[in-house]
Amino acid sequence: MNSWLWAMAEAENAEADPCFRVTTVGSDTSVSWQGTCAHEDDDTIEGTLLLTLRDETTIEGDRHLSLSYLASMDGVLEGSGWEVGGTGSATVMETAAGVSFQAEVGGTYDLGEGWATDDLDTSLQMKGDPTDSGVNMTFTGGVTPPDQASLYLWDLVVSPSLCANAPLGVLSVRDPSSVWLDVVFDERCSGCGTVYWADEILGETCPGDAIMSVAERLQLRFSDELTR
Amino acid sequence: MIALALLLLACEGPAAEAPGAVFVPLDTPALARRISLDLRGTLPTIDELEAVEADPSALTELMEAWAADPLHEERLVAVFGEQWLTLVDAYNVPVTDFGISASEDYRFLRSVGQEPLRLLARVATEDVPYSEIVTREGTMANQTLLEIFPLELLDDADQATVDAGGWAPALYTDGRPAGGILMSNGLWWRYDSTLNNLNRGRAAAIARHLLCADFLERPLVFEGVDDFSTDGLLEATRSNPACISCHSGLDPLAANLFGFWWFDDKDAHEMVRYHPSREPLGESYLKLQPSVSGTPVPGPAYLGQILSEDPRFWSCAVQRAASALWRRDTTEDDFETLEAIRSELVASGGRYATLERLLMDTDEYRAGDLSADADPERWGEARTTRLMSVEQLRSAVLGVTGYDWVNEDGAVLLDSDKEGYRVMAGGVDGDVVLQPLLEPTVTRTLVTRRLAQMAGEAAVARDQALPDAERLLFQGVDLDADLPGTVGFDDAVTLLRLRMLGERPDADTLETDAAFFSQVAALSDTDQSWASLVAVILQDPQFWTY
Repeated sequence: MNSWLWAMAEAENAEADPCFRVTTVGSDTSVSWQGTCAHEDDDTIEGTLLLTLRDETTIEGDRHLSLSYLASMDGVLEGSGWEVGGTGSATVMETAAGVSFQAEVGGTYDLGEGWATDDLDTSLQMKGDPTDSGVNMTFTGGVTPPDQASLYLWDLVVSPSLCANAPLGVLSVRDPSSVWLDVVFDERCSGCGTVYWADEILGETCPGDAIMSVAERLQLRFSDELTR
Repeated sequence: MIALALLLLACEGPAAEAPGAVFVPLDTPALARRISLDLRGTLPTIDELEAVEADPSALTELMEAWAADPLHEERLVAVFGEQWLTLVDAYNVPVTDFGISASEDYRFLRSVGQEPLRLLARVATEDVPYSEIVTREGTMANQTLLEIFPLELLDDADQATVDAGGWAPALYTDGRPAGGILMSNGLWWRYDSTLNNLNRGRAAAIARHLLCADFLERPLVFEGVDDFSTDGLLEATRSNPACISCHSGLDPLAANLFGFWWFDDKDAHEMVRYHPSREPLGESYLKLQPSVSGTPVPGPAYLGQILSEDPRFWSCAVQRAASALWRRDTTEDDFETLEAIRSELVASGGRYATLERLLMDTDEYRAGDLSADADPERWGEARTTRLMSVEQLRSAVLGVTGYDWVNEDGAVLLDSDKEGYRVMAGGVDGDVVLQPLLEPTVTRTLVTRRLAQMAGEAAVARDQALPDAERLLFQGVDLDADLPGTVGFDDAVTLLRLRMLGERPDADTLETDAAFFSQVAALSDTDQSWASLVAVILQDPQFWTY
C-alpha cells in the first residue's frame, strides 16, 4: 500500500490533487492525506495518513533508513476493498557487522471488505541484530492472524547462534475461552516448548519450525527492502 | 420477601407523622406519583390514583406492576446514564466515518452511549443478581450498533424488535470475553485512553463507578518527579510515595484493559473491535501483573467476577441506587441505613429490584416534609420535594400529552446539547456537566415553558383527531361543548389536574381555570384555550416536582 501511495503522491503532488500534501522538513519527507481521493480505474482511498520517510543517512559509517506512518484509511484498489487503522515504524541499518532492523506494527489491517470482518490485528515489535552466523530475531507483542488464535510473544528469540534458529523464550496462546497458555521454549533448543496455564504444566508442543520459517521470511524481507 | 412485607406494612395506613419521627410522610397518592415517576418515568393514571385513594394498600400491587412495565427498563437507562455519564455528544470518531449520513448523528451518539446503560438496565430488571452487569456474556444492541460493531443478535427472533427500533441481547464476534459492561464498546468509547495514560483513566472509571473509590479525590502531589519521560514517569509510579498512593491500586487495574488498547485513538477500525492479542500489553507496558485490589486477575475473562467479589461492589451499588432515589449524595451518616440494606440485598440474592424496593421503603424516600423534630444539620440535604430530572420531564410530558420534542432528524431535544436543551433543562452532558440540576433555575423554567406550550397544543390537536378510547388527556371530554359554566368543564379540568398534578382542584382553582379559559377563548378559540390550560398546568411547580 505505502509504495502505491508514494507513487501516487509523486505523480500527482499537492498542486494537482488536494488530498495529497508532500512536504520536506530537513531530511524528512512526509505525505499527508485527508479526505477522499479517486484515481484512475475507480481506485479510491478515503481517510487520513501521515507517512514519513527519513532520507538515507550515514552515522559513523552506518547507513540508516527509516519510515513511520499513522493511518486511518479505507480504500478500493483494483476492485478490492481494504481497511487500515494504526501506526507503524521501521528502521533499517547497514553496519559493518551486517544488516540490523527494528520494526513495530500496531493496528488493524483488513484486506477484505466491510466492517467487522476478520482481520490481522497486531501490536508486534520485531528486532534483528546481525551476528557472525546470521541475524538474531527478537519478537515482542501480540498478533491475531485472520481466523487464528491470538498470540503474544514475550521477547521470543530466533537466532542461528542461540539454539540454531529454534525459538527461545515465551510464546503465549489465547484459547477460545479467553485463557492464555504459555509455551516456554528453553535452552534444550528442541523447537518444542512446555505448555503452562499459570503454574500448572499441561504438556508440550512443538511449533518451532513454523516460528523459524516466519522469522526467516521476515529477515529476507527487510534485507530486500534495504538493498532495493 | 422481607422487603415485600415491609412495603405492605408501610402502605397500610394513611400518611401521618409518627411521634419523634424525622420525616412527615407523603400521602398515598403523592407517594404513588413519586414511585411511578421513579420506576417508569411517567405519572400514575387516573385509575391508578383513584385505586390508591380508595385503598392505600393497592400501591403495593401497583409497584409490582410498574416494576414489570417495559418503561421501567427505559427509566433505568436514564438513571444509569446520569451516573455513568456515557451519553456524550461526541466521540473520537464521527458518524460519517462509518459511511452513515451526518443526519444520523444523534441516533449514532445515543446508540453507542446507551449500549452499557441498556445492559445495566436489562440486568437490573431481570430476576438475576445485579453482579451480572460485570460478568454477563454479550451486550445489548440496536440496528445502528449491529451495523457498525462486530455484533450479532443472540436470538434471530429479536430481529423484529431491532427492526422496530428496539434493543436486544447481542454477542460480539471479535473474541472478547464475557464481562458485561466491562466488555462494551460504549463504555470505553466514553472513557478512552491516550498512549501515555495507559488505561489509567479507564481504571479510575471502574473504581469510581463500581467500587465507589474515586482516585481523583486523593491529593495530587508532583513534588520529587524530575524525569518526565515515559520510563521516568513509570518509575515514579513505583518509587515516589506521592505517586504510589494512587498508582499502586490504579495501574494493576489498568493492566486488565488492554484488549481495548488503540494504536490510533481516532481510528474507527481500531475502536470498533476488541483486540485479544493486546491483552498482555498491560503487563508489558505497565510492567506489573493485572490485579484488582491485590487479587491477581489471570485474564480479562476473570475481571468482572473478581470485581463483583470485592466487598465494595455491593456497598457501591447500594450507595448509587440510594443517590438516585433519594436525589442526593450519600454521606457517612447514611452508613447504618445503607449497610442494613446491603446486607439484606446480598442475603436475598442481589436483585436490583429488591434494592429499589428496600430504598423506596425508607422513611426518607417516602418523606413529604421534615418534621419539627428533624435536625437540620443532619437532614438539611434530604429531598422531601424533588425536581423531575430532564428525562422524567420528557417522559412525563410524553406520557400525558403524547408530545416528544424532536427535530426533523429525530433528535430528542431534551436529550441532546448538540441539537437541543438537555443541560439547560437540568440534565448532564457526560462531559462538562456531570451533576443533574436539583433546584429550579431560570433556564430550566424557560425550557419547561416552551415545552409546555408545544405539548399543550400537540395534546389538543392529537386528542381532537382521535376517538375517545385512543385519547391520552381528554378522554370523555367534548372539547367543543364542555366549556366554562358546564359540569363537563369542571369534570374535565378536575381530570386534567388529577392526571398531571396528582390532586383534585378546589372550587377556587376551578373558577380561576374557567376565567383563564374564557379569556384565551375571547382572543382565539376554544382549542387554544384547552392548549393554554394544559400548558399552564404543565408549568405548575406541582407538575415538575414530585
